[in-house]
Amino acid sequence: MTDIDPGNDLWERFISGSSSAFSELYDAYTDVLYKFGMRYSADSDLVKDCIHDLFIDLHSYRGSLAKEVNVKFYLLKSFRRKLHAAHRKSSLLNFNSWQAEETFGINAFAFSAEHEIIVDEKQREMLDHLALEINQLPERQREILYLRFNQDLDYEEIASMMQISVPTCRTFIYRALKQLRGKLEFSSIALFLYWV
Amino acid sequence: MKRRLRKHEDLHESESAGLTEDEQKILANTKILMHSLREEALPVAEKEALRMRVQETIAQKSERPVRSIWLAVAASLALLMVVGAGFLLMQKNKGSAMEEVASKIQADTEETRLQLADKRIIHLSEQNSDLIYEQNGSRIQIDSSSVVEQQVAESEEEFNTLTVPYGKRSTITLIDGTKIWLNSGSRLVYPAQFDGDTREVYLEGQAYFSVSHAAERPFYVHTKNIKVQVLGTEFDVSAYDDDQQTAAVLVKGSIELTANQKSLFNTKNKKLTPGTMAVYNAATDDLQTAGVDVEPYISWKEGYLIFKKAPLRDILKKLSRYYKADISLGSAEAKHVTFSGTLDLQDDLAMVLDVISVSTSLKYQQTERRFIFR
Repeated sequence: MTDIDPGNDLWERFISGSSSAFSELYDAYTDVLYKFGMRYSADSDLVKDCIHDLFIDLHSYRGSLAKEVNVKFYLLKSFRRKLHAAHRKSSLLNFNSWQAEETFGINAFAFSAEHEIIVDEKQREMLDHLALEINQLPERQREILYLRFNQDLDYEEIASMMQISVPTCRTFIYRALKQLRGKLEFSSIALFLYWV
Repeated sequence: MKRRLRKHEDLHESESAGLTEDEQKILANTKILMHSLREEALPVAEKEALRMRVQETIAQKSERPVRSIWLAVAASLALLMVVGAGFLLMQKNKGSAMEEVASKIQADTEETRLQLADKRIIHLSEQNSDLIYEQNGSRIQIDSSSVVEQQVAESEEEFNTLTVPYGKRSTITLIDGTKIWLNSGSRLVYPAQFDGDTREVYLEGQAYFSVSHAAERPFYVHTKNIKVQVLGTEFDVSAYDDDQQTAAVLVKGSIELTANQKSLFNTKNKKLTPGTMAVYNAATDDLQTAGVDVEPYISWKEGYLIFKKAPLRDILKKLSRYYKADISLGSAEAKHVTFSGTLDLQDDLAMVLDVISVSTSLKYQQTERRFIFR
């Protein structure tokens, strides 16, 4: 989906100081970062500011960056940290923050009806329903599902990004799946009763 | 027990192994859902604007790494001396008086406009208008076809302002014989008559000056960020508000540049010799000079532009001002393209853009007054 991987060639050229590689890096990852950022914050200016800061940091420290990295993961991780910090700062400035949810977290999921891969109307309904279910899961479980299945990160990467252990990460996903099942069963019964 | 075991093994490789049929279905659907989320895309124009912002920040940073420590030192000293600085700032000079006049005049105008000291506004309809001051500045010859008269007060604090919008140009001959070519999107504030020890004008945008020699009465060009002191000479000043830098190019004679930024210890200034360009960056308070071929910087006043390996972005910015059109770069590759050659500004815009298109092999699209190169 969001898998554009120009490989580590580009990354290495960037580290060795090529300005065209810097520009290509911007081209390749800005859209991914923006979508990712908008998942965490509804403030598009804040997300753009963080993208700006991320690329400025990359440019400033390019001499000391590691060559052997998963570029996308590295960028997402740094970016998430920036978003987190920016979010904290902006909620400090906001007087109503004590009322609002103070935790930094992921926004609700909605299924995109325009998506080509879904043809079946029944499947559409089911996915809409699943999205509702997932949105009711605890924050961190939702985030893990997103990182695992939308961003296609592996457990080690998710664990490192969210600062939890790998087993905890596994448990979260497992629990999320169990919980979804329970809820789906419940609501299909409810649906059944409705039809009777 | 069984469950514990499964938890450890199953999720080792992938999630699906060992799940019940129902659980696998949920998993599959979750994957599909996660791959078809409604997501906010970044509009292309915003992506490009953000790229520019990144590049500008980098450009600014790269110009001052060594000085940052000194900046920190200077900043803490400045903090101690805030009172002194306040005193410095309170001293008002003629440049800031004229800057104030300029700021009060309405900016968005379709026509070239001359505002007199008595607040009358004269509209000049020509594409390239020409003004000549005569008789102590009380009489102004416009486009050698009409004449405007004004009262000239004894005090020099009354100014005339010439505003040239994008798409227009103007020349003006002041009462001392100094001739000034004003480029598109520029504004000049000046007294109708020069008396006293100095001749001072204020410029926003770009102008070429041919200053008549009068050693006893130096000529000053004030801009927002620098001041140019002149004895008698020919030079170009470019001080557009939307440019990062203010630049002066000296053709002949001698000029001296002073940064307006008040520094308590050293005010930046530089003397220029002919064939030199000075560039001042207000954000970093950095004044640099370099020897240049002056022709590309001043050719606009003759109605053409010369470029030597100039980035397309800079060229399009100039053309946007000159023709009052919105011309931009739509693709990343186009950003690295440079152009060398001469563009004749007598031609209409489409023709000029065709020349660029042919020699860079980039295509452009037009929608009304908007042009995008890809």
